Amino acid sequence: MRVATASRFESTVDTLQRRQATLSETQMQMSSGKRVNRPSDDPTAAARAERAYIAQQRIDSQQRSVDVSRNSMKLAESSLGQAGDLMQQVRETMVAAGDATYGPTERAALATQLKQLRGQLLGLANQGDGAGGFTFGGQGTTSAPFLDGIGGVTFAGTGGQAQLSATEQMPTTVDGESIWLAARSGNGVFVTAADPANTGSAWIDAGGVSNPSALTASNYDITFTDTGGGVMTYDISPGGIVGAPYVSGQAITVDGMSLKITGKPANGDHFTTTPSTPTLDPFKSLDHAISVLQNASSTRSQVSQVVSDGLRDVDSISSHLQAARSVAGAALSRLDSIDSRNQDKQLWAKSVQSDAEDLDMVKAVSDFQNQQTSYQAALQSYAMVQKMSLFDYLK
Amino acid sequence: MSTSMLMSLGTRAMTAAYAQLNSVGNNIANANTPGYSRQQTIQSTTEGQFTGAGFFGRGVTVQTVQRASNIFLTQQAASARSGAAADSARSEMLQQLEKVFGTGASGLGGSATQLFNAFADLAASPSDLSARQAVLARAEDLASTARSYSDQISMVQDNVRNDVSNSVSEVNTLATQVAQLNTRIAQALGTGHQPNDLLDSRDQLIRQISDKIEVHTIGAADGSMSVFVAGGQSLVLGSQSNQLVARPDDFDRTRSAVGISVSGQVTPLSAKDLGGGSLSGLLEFQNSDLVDARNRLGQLMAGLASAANTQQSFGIDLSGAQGTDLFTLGKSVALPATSNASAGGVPLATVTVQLVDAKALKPSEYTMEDDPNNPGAYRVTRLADAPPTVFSNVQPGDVIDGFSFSLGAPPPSAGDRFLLQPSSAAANGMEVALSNPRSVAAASPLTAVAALANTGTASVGSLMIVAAKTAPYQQMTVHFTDANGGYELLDSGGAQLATGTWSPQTPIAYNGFELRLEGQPALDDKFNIDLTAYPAGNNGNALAFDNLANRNLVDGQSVTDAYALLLSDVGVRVQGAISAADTSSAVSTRASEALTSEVGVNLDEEAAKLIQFQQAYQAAAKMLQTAQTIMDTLLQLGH
Repeated sequence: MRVATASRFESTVDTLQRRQATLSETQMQMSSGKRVNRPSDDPTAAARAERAYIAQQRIDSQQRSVDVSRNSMKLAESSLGQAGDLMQQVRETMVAAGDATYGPTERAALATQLKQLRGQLLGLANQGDGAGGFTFGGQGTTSAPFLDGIGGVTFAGTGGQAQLSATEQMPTTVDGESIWLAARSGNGVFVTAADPANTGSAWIDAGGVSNPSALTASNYDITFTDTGGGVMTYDISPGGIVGAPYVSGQAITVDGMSLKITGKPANGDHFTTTPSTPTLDPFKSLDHAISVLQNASSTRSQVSQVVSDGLRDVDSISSHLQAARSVAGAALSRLDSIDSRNQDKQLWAKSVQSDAEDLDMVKAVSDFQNQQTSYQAALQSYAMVQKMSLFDYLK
Repeated sequence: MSTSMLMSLGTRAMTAAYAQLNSVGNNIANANTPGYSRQQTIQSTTEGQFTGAGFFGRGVTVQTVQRASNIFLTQQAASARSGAAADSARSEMLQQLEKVFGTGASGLGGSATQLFNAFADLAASPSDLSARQAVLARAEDLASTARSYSDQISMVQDNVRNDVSNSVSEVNTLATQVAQLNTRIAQALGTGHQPNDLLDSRDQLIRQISDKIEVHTIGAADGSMSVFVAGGQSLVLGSQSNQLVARPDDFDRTRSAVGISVSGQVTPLSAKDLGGGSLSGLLEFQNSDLVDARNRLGQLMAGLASAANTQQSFGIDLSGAQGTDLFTLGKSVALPATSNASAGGVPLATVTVQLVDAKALKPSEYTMEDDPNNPGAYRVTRLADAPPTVFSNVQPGDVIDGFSFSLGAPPPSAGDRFLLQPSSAAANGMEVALSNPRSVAAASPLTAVAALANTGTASVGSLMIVAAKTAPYQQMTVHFTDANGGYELLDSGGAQLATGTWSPQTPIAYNGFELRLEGQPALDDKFNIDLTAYPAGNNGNALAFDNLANRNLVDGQSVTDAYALLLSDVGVRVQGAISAADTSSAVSTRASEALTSEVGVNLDEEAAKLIQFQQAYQAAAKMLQTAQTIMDTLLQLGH
């Protein structure tokens, strides 16, 4: 077959150019480290790499949310821990106030101490999160969520928790209203109280549950009657107890409740129990204790009653705060698991992206050398073949 | 036999050898001239002279100079060239188009994700103006990326238009030259000899036309050659040539169309009619690849922006007002055909296209015309499908693929046609409509709070607005009426609005909101739903925005998946086009090698011939010398 000389030149040059193009393509892949530099290099891999890249961006974003949420929960957890410590101090102060040897002056000093503790508790409840929000702000407030007013402390905001994800539980605030203002009153099941109009010196303890199945959730009224000769009896309604003899400090049991009245009640003195409600707050409780303790004319039984009520409330509030703290702790551990899940997902997405578009360097280097060798061979053969011409032999 | 006979033989032989050497020299000289065909001097024996002793040869005669040619191989090479030129034009354009769509951080998918992520950051601090500003900046970034993609696509379109119009005028020039050469060749053939160089030039011109469009040639007895485009229309007929015309597309003026003007009548030529050549590749790219790319981009942006606008309308901004649109989109349009009834160049009838449900949009354009089977109704054809999907008996207002159309006054005349582009221009005109960061509707208009007295473990998981409200929002209470999730929804006056049964899978839904609970509600548990009192502290709608990243906003796909699909779709087209271009260029190379091996010049061959005819010349000269010697001998006899 005849080979036209011009086309032989053309086709060899064409081949050389193609080899050069392959070589520079491999060289570009090696310098970028990527096998897929354009979607057309491998359309499926390019789409997979794109999705994996976006997945990483999304995980990064969620991880930022996790970090924000974790900071808030850490703050809440430590604040609630401090609140627990403060409540312990309140408890100690209350116990001290119950000391029968203390006079009005000592009690006034203790009242001042309680006032200070109350201030510290309010400060904790209104603690900012460092970013303009409030740790205990619930689902939104404009300023400090807890307002100290004449009727006590009120929550000026929306309850509940602000979340950072629609699908995962990632809170940025905790529900301040339920934590600070909604401890169970009384002993958690019922509330005992002495009628303020009582004239005797008897006081009632917080009581306890002796038989949970017998509880009725009714209001009970205990009325004392002096039957003469220093013998006191009491009636409990409802409960159907009429004319039961009173012994100071002996347990009185009615419908599954067990409570103790200590001291000397007067004829017509009343004590009541009402079902517990989630309305107890440390501020109101402290306000009440402070007002009695700093009042020099408070009677012994009033003091005993306020100390007894106070300790009961402190215990209820402390355990309520403790429960809230453990909820924050649970949130933190949940965040940790989201965090580690995110790390795993991130790693997975990175490796998907890398598998899809990254270059196998070893293979690339070996390919490059092969291509180099064949390019050199092409150059050499070109030079040799083109040298051969019959004209060279015409002398 | 005279002595001069030998002299005459020698002279003829010398002339023939010289003529041969001439041809060889011409071949060597033109070895590298494109389109040159090897020439050969044809010589033959002169008829012998009869004598009593038989026929004595009278030497050699130079008959003519012939060029090597092979019509079949020439046509094959030209047609292979057309195919290669079409594939390479499309592949080059597609590679330009591919550069438009960035990947990773520089891509549109990355920009969209950054916007979603900015909402996640805003959710962490909804009152933070800088977080709100970041949302607007990301939105602007997304909109400008979309606009820049759209601009680049328009630039590619402009390139196509330029290339088409240049190619068309080039073909016209070449066709005119072919017609002129036909005349000259016919004249030259009258001399009885082939005008080799003119024939070469004509072949070369036809080869150049083949680069632009595929043509068929038919030779006539007078030596002229008629050229026909693949669709059958004549481009050159003897000494007459017709003109190709580049003109705007019937519907979309920004696109090019090609036609051929035969005696003043323009017949449109589609890419298929052109068969091959770079013009066909360009039209194919413009009408399929480029349109698809633009529609896919538009579909993506329309889906995303509409969802963002809807989400804005579900939320309230920092001042508590209902959110307004975040983005504005390029309008959907209906383009009238040039053939539509018009007055003074302005089409009489207008059609308007409305987006109804952006997430149902398909990446396509549609034609709309009278439905022949249902008078008064229209037929809409989705063009992106192969074969196109036809929707018959369509009335204005009917929703097809997420859009509907309405008629202006007067309504379309019989035979009017429109091209509906629901999403083509979406990315082109995409802008951020909000400028004040306070206007980002990050807050949900409703807030749910569990009652403090609840005894169950349920807490509020999320309260999301998922549809537009049907009545003004009001204060409501969800009251669980049993321990199995049965609830009633009460208004602030205690009147029952709705009842239902809650489960973790079935949220409490009413008036466009969905309340999801975590945990188990107990009998008599209550959840209060109230108007959001503190929009600055609520992030409900920002979370919903963030969640748009996971929702199927684009024809059943998330934004990320839709963009990845767009990338791989373009990638597959480029890959296919490159490999088609490689294949067809190899076919073309082989065809042209086959042709040149037949008609090309091989210098070694010419060198051999050079020696051969040099020797022949020397031998002939020797003959003359011998003749002279003989003559001398005879003359000496006379002394």
